[in-house]
Amino acid sequence: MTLVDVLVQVGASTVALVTLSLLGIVGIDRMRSLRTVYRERIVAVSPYVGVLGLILLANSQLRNFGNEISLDFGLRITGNIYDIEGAFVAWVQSFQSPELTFYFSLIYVYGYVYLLVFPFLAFAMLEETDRFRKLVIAYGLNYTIGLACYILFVAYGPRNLLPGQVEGLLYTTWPQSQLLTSEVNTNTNVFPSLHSSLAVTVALLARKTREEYPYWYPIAIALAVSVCLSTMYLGIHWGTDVVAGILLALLSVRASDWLLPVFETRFPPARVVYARVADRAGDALGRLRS
Amino acid sequence: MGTTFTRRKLLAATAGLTAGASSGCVSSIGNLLGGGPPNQVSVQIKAQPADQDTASVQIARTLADRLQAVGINATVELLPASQLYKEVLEQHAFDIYVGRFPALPDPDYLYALFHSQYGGDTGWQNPFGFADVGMDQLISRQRTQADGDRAGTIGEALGIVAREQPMSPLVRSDAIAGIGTGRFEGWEQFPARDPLWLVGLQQANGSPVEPQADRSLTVATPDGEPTRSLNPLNRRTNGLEIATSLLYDPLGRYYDGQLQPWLAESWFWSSDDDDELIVRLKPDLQWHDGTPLTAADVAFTYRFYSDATMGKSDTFAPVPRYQGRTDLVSSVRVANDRTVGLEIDAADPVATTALSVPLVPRHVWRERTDVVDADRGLTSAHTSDNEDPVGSGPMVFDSWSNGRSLTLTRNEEHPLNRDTSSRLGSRFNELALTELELLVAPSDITVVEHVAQNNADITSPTLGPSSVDRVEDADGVDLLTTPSRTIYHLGFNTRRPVLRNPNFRRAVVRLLDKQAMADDIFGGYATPLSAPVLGSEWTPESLQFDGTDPQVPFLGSDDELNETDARETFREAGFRYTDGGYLVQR
Repeated sequence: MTLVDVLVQVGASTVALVTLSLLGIVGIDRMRSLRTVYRERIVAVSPYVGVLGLILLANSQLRNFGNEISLDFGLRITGNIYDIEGAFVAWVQSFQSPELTFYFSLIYVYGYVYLLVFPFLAFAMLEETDRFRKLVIAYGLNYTIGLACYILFVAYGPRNLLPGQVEGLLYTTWPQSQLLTSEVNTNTNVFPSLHSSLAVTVALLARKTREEYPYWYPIAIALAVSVCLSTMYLGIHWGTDVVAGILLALLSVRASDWLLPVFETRFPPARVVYARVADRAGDALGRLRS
Repeated sequence: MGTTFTRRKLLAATAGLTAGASSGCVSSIGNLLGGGPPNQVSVQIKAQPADQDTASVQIARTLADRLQAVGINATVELLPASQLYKEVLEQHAFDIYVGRFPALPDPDYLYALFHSQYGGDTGWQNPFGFADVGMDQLISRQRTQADGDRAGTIGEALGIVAREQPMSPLVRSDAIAGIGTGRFEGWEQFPARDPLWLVGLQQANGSPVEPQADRSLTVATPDGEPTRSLNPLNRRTNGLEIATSLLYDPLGRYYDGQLQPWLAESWFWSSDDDDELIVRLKPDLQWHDGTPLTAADVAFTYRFYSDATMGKSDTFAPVPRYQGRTDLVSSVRVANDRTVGLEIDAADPVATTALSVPLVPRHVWRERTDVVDADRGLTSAHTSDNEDPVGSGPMVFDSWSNGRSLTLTRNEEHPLNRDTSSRLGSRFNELALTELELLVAPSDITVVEHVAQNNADITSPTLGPSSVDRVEDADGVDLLTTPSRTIYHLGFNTRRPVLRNPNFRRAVVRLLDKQAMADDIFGGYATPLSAPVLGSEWTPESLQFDGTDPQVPFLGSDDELNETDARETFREAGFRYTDGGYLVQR
C-alpha cells in the first residue's frame, strides 16, 4: 500500500461520510433550496475560500523552509513540556486496548478529515453566509498562527522523547498512516496540536448553528473530544500541545467574530471587483449550461 | 557612515539570542519548575528523536533521569541527525551528546579523534576539545611504529581515554536489516554497513548472469540525505553511505583483512626515497562522464583535500572528513599518467590508510574553490550538494527526487564490470545489480512496511533493535544481522566549565550500566565497549570490558543505581550537595 492508496481511502470515506451527513443533518429540502441561490452564495463566499486556499498553499510551501530556520533559531521546548507534564501521556496510554486503539486511529485520520470538511459544505448552505465566512477566517487563523508557532518552537512529540514509555500507537498498528501524516507535517512540529485546535474550532462554531443543525452540535462535540484524546492516546502529542490547541481554537473563533466586520468594511472595493468578475464567470457558466 | 549588517552578523546576533534563550533562559525555567537553586549543576544532553534513533534517545533519557536523581539539573534536547552533527561536529555547541561514529578499519582514526591540534576543527576530529600532551605524543608515535610496538602505544593512548573520558564508548551496535527478496544472495559476504556490502551480492541460483532477469534492487531507508546531497566530502548524518560509496572509488579498499588495491593496480615504497609511496593505477580508468581518470586526478584529490581553495586563498580550508588521513601526505608527485608518488611520513599500516579516501575528478572540483565561510573554513566544495555527481565507482547517478528517492545504474566501464578475469573481477565477479533505488520513508516502521508490501526489496541496514520483531512478523522478509563498525558513545564538551573536570565526566559515565544497555535498549544486538576501538587486538587486557567497564564501573548493579554511592562519587569529584539535595559547585 502506498501513499496514493491511503489518500484514496481517506478521500472515499470522507465523501461517503459527508454525503450521509448532508442527507441526515442538512436535509434534502435545504439542499434543494440552493438551486435558486447558489450563484449569489458562491460569489459571497468565494473570496474567503480563495484566501484560505492561498493560506494553505503558503503553509505547505513555507513549512519546509520554516523547518530549516526553526532548527537553527527556534526555541527548543520539548524538555520544557516534559518538565511541565512528565509522563502524563504514558498514563493516558495505560488505558490501552485494541478496541480503543482502533477507535482513536480511525478518529485521528478519518474522523478528523470529516470533521473539518463537513461544516464547509453545511455552513455554505445556510441563508446567512456569516457563519461560513467566520469558519473560513477561523481555519485561516488556526493555520497561520499554527505555522508561526511551528517556526518559533521546535518540539517533538512524546513518542519521540519517551520511546520506552510512550508508544507511537498509530504508526505501530497502522504503519501506512505515517506515509500520510509525514506528508502533511514533520515530527518537529507538535506544539500546538493543530488536530486539537481545528477540531475544537469546529465544535465551537457548531454551537452557533444549533438551531439550523441540531444533530451536528453533539456530533461535533463528540468528535472534537475524541480527536483531542486521540492525539495523546496515540502518543503523537503532549497534553500541553492539546491545551495550547484548545486555546488557539478559542482565540481563532473569538477573533473571527470581530475580524469579519473588519474585512467586510475595510475591503469593499476588492469585494466589488471580485463580485463582478465572479458574476461574469457565473453568467458564462450559465450560458454554457443552456 | 552607517553600520552595515551583513547576513552573517545578523545570523550571529540571532544565534546568540536564541542560544541564550534556549540554554540560559530555558534552564532557569527548568530550575523554577524543578525547584533547584540557581547555581545547581546543569547539563544538557543532545540526542536524536526516536523516529530516527530510538536507542539514542533512550540512552539520553536514562542518563538524564539518573543525573536528576543525584541532584543535577539535566535535560534532553532532541535534534535530527543533520542538525545534531552540525552542532556537535561543526559548532561544538553542546554539553553532552549521545552519538554514533563509524570506526575506520585502522585505529589511526584515534589521531584525528583525540589530537589536541584538531580541537578547533570540524568533523570527527576531536569534537570534545580534549587536550592532553601525553595523548598527542602517543598517537603521533604510533604512526611510525611497527606492529607490536604500535599496539603497545595505542594501548597506552586508550588508557588515557579510559582515565580521562573525553568521550565514553558505550556499545558497538549490530547492523539490522530486513531482506525481502530472493533474487540475490551473498548478504553476509560483507558486514551490512560495509561499503562493499552490495558489491558482494550475487544473483541467486545460477552462476551465469541471466540478462533477462530483474537485477534491480530497491532499498527502503529512513535517511533522506542522499536524495538531497551526494557530496562525498561532507556527510553530516554519518549513517550508511550506500550511494556515495558506490559512486566514488578510492585507490584501495579494506577487505579480506587488509587494505587491498581497488582503483590502484599496486603500490610500493620507492627505492630512492624512503618516504615515497609509489601508486600505480589500473589501465584505462575513466570518470562517469567519459573523461580519463589519470594520476593528475589522484594528485589533485590529495592537494584539494588538504586545501580546498587550491592555494587561491589564505583561508585554512581542508576537508575535515578525511583530514586525519590526508594530513599524512605531505606532497604528491605525478610521475606519468598512471603513476603518482605520495610523500608520507608514517610506517606501513598507517601510511596506506591515506589510500582509502575517495577520489574526485579534477575537472569538476577545481571549479569549486571559492571561499564561502572563511571563519569555518568552508568553500563551495564543502557546501555543494554535488547534484549530477561524476565519480568513478561501479554505479552511476541516474536521477533523484528531493526527500523521496534516488536511482543509480550500473557503470559498465568500471574495472569490476569490464574485466572479470582481473584480480578484482575474480574476487567480486561483476556487479550483480543493474539498478539501485533508494526509497525514503519517514521511519523504521514504514521502512519495514515498504519491504513487507513489496514496494522495496530490502531495508537499509540501519534498523533499530525495536524493529526486529516487526521484521520477523512480516511475511517474506528475513532478518539479517551482522556486526558493524558503529560505536555508540557519550561525547563530552571538555571546553565547558563543569565538563572540564575529568572526575565529573567519570562520575557521569558511572551512572550508566553498559551491559544492561546492550541487553535491554539494544535487545542484545550490541556489544558493550570500554575503549573506542573494535577488535580486541588493540585493547589492552586491563581495559577490556568484563561484565562492567573496568575503568568507570557502574555505580550499582543490574541497572539499579546506588544513589548514595553516586552522590559520594560526585562529592569526591569536587562538588557539594545543598540541604535540598542539589549538586552545586564547591
